[in-house]
Amino acid sequence: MNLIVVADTGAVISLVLSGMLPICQKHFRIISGEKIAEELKEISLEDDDLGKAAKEALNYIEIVSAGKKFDIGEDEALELLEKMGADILISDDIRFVKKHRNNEKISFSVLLLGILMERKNISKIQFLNAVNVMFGKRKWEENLIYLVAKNMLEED
Amino acid sequence: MKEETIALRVEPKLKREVELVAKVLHVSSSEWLRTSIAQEVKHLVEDLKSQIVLEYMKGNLTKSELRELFGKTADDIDFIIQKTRKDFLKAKKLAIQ
Repeated sequence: MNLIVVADTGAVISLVLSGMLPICQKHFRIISGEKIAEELKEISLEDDDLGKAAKEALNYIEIVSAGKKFDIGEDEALELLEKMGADILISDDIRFVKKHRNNEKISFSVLLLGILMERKNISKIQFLNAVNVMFGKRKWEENLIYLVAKNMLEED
Repeated sequence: MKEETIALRVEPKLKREVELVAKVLHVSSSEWLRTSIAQEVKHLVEDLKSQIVLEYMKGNLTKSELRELFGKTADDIDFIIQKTRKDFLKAKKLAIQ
């Protein structure tokens, strides 16, 4: 059975930008809440790379209701993680992941690529290419995630 | 602010150019050099951010040196390195589920 993955806005966009969302969708059950869908719709109105990525993301992810309204997407993701009995929550928000560092189920989006590589669904080169693309399209602080992952992969 | 001295030898032509630039700007040569070096270092740190992180990962920079360059972001960098290392191990475990 596919692992259930709750994804927040930033993580979903990263996966789209890397071109990996379709293959992730094939091997994981990726779900997001209504607040995340709302955030993606808002971003999709922008005429830039992030806007296009958000639009594409809406075609792939499964939107699930958390049962109540949330003002912050990450809080909704935490609720969904619990409610759905999900295996993983992915977020590329460093502060959020750091805040919940003791929750073993919360990880950066590159975890999914790591699982796919271990299962040989993608090659190491594909993983490296994906983080390279993510690296080129995000802000410096978010880029740290992809920079570190890329370096660890290269040294592995 | 406590100040320290950097002594450097330069060619006479460069020394004269520094003096002339400082004269045009109505500041002393040392003041102009101090400002210029500070600006240049700031730009370099900005341009070399990724390189700095990689050098830290290789162990060529200490945590306190990283903190001197990046301030509180140094703690985030440390967290990301530890978390990513853990996630790579976690990926191996989850891959067989």
